[in-house]
Amino acid sequence: MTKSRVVLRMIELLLCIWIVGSQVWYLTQFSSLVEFATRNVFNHG
Amino acid sequence: MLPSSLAFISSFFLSLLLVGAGKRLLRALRIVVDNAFEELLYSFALGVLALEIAVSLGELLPHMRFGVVLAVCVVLALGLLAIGEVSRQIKAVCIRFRLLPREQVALGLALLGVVALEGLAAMAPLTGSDAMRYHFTVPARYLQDGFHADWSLLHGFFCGLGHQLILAGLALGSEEIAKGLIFVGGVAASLATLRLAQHWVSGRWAFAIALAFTLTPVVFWQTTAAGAPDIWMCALLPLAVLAILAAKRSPSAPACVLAGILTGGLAGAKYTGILMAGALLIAFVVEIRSFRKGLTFFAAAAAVGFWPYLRNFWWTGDPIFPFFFARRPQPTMNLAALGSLLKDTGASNPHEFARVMRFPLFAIADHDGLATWQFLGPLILALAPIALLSVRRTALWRVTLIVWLTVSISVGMTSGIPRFLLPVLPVALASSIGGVALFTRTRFPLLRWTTILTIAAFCLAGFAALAIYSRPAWSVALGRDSRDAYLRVHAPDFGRSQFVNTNVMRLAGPDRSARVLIFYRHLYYLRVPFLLGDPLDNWEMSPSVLNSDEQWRALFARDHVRWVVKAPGYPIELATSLAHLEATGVLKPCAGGTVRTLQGFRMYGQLADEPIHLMCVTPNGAAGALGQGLTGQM
Repeated sequence: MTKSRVVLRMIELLLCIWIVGSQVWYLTQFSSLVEFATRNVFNHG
Repeated sequence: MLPSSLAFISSFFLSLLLVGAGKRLLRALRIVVDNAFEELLYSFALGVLALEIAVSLGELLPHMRFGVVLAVCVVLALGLLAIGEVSRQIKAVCIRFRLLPREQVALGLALLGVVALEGLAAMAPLTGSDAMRYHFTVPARYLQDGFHADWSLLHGFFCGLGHQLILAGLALGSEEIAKGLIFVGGVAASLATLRLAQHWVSGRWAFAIALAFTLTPVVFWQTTAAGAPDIWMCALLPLAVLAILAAKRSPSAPACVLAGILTGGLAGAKYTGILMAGALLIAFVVEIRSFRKGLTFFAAAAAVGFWPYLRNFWWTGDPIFPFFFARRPQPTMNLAALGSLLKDTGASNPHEFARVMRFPLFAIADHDGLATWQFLGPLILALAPIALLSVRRTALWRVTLIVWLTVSISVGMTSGIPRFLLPVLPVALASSIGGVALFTRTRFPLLRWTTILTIAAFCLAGFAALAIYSRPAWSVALGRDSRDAYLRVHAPDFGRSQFVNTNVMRLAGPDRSARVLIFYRHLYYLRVPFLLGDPLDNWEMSPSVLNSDEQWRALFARDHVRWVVKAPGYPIELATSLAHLEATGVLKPCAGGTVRTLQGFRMYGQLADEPIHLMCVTPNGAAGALGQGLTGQM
């Protein structure tokens, strides 16, 4: 694999990490909501 | 047949007639659209805007209900003239849809299924907090008391063109039709998102974008239970973007008029609509670069959107009440109400630079982290930065970026309320997902699959949220639960209103105009004449003025108030003076009990028993101004 292809793979990996990481961060902004939904969904069962 | 089923069918046929009316208008304005699906969407939007303007004229007639019904009939009759043509065009679009590849048909059917489930949820009785406070209450009061400035319910001045749909439904005698006209706004928004997305990427990506939009929690809440007409803005904004792009391709005067009309509808919908109309005007001027066509666009927008601002100017001297009003406060004003209105709209909130800059990425939540009504989803934050890598110097990207950035930053700077970003969500979502799809078309397969999985996970989570949130609404709409049982659990203050209705009707006797003073927020289910006593929403209830027994007596006499509701206490701003009225015998309990009411936000679902009292205003309290006939009743 050439050096440029390795760099491109690294960039791609970083962008994937950004997609997942930013969503996790977003959900932490709604931390109470996630906790509330989890409590309600599972406690109702 | 259930009322909900009838309403669902009525909304469908009403929509067809509105598409017909819009089609006639398109033809009258000599507007040519080169895509049948897009033409149907423009027709629907024009038909709805025609209805809103016709109702705005109808409500000026001395017999308001007659005027509004007449306006509805005129628009629907116009639609009837083109119903055959509309049916043929819809049939042609359906045939084209069936010929699409199987996976696209599957995604399209999934979209239709979600929309149908949302439609069913929308037919449940009204429970939206702001809907019960003013979206439905204000039009209902206009129908009852006539079209007038209602200083006792200040949120009424926030009503825009979209509220004319609610007024039309209520004038026809059906709350369900009013809700149906809001729901079809959600359908139009989903389809407009689909059409806009097709400008970036065709095929399954476009359907996935529309599905993600439809399953965004704020979107399905606004389409189903909120009872607010704001969702129509989500249809008008992407359609206005499409119309500007069409005007760029074929810059004729009719094309500019169409873009202007849609922009005007947006401006007239809500105060923040002015920001959106401004962004669209900038995009139009940048693309078309013609003073004459810019003027045509502006004139069309102003002609459609001016009505709510003229009404407010006529009634208050301030077209955007209370924002100009607040700039020159007088000691005689209800400063508590003024401050509350500014806080409610976010105008008095701090707008720090760092927070404003998060608005274009929709990366904002309320401080308590429990605000589902602000949950616009993480897709823009996750995908927009990557989508920017595929930006090209095209009209599509220019218009999109101008509208998206101008609207989001201006909303952040003026109100700071994330939910007000909702109308620009279709544009942001279509360009974010579409941009990544373009960027990864020939490279970065891992990134492409991560994006696909992200969208799929978002849609699945959104569907689960829709199912959990709408399950009680579906039950009542299907007739499995009773209306009253549903409202007792899901409609704030419903138990209080039932107590007030029962006891006031019992005590009122022949005097049907005597009013009850109410301090709680959710007024829609009151069926007796009332006066809102909330000092933060009634101009007359100024705590600085109502500080003596004499002032209260004058108010009771002037507004024909015979009862005061204490549930469980009085507002803190007025508690001292009202307690004094009790101590001096001006207010005496004449009915009492316990009601089960929701505590805090609806989503907590916490019910508790609370004491409630109906306090009678004694003849002495009303200084004899209520008349001999009434004193006998008490």
